[in-house]
Amino acid sequence: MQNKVKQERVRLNMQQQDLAEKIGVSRQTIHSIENNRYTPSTLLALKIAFIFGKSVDELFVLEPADWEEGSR
Amino acid sequence: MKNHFLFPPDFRLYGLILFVAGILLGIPNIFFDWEISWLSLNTEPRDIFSGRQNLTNELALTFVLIGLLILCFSSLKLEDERTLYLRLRAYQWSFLVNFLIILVGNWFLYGEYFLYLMIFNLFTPLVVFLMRFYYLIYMDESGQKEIDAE
Repeated sequence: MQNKVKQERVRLNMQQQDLAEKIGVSRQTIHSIENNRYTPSTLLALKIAFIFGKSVDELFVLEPADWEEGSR
Repeated sequence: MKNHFLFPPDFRLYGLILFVAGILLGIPNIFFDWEISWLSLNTEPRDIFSGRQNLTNELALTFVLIGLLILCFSSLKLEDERTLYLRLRAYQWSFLVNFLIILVGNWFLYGEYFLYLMIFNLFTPLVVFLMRFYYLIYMDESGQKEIDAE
């Protein structure tokens, strides 16, 4: 899954730590999400989207591989 | 996502102290038959545990198990859904290793050796969980430093 968390965060001139504090997770979690090492829960994705004033599907975009993974 | 089964982060220190105390008590007891004299009990011959009993090994095992449990179930300074996910991955490993040891021991160890294996296998879920969990945390954070450096 692709995500635009880093682009949006940079656009708002926000540090990883700032975003982490706003949504109550660690900075490492934000880092992992931005680098596609961790897929956030629906709740966390909604919180991130709320902070950025975007919808979840604007921030997180499915890739063809995600469909294959789900059908296994 | 809140994990309700975790102690506060400070408890890690108490867990470590209990674990070390249990090890320091248990190793001389197992290998050199050392016992704390005032923990001896003289039971009646008709009791199940007839004759002289000493509770040093019971105390050591209690310290080790409670220490390990507290270490496993103490939260990190910042516990969130990613750490919960890493915990889950570590639990899977500990469960698997525990049963693999039983499976292998079942075929290759007999009699008292199998019994010893089962006793030591009591600790594997907790020990493997701790090793795997902190390894995952370490790998995750060192991977992030590499990405940051790029």
